[in-house]
Amino acid sequence: MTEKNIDQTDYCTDRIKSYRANLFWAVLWVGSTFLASFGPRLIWDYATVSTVIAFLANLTFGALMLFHTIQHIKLHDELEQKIFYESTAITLGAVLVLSVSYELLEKIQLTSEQPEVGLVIVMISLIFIASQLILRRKYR
Amino acid sequence: MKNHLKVLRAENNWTQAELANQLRVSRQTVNALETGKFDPSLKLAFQIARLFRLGIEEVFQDEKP
Repeated sequence: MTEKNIDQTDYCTDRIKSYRANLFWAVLWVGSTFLASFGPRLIWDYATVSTVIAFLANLTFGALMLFHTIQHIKLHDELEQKIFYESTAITLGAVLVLSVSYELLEKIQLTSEQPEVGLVIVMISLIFIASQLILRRKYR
Repeated sequence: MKNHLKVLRAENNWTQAELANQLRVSRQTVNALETGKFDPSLKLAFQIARLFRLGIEEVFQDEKP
């Protein structure tokens, strides 16, 4: 195996390991969110200690997921990082504008429904994915 | 910024993937560099010049007169 191939293997291995670690913490965080949301009602009948533990576990796994995401982004090359930061900026701006308008809908009585935070999360995800796809296409 | 990356790569008989592996970047990044869609950082520009054993100005040129 040449030095070039060894480098390639190391580079790919690092990235695959990082993807797996990121996925692991993301799954753990989603799982702990479900447990903290439904556990009190369905499993331990609102026992305070269990609820506090589930809540703290959710916060801890969330923090660890964020930490690993930052480590993962550091492994990206500079164009990939640029695409990531641009998508994040677009998402932040678009969600700010759209969520203010969304909240306004109820205030000005164009709808009677209360704004749902879940819908904002879906909005963030969709805008981020769309901007990633568009920017990747731009730099292809 | 203009560059001779495509010519230099061809002179060395490297594919985009091979060059990407040596620079530890993605193949998409090499393609974006070659087509001028993306300007590298100084660090990456020096790394590229070092790889081809050239000065940085022999690989990259400012487009402004």
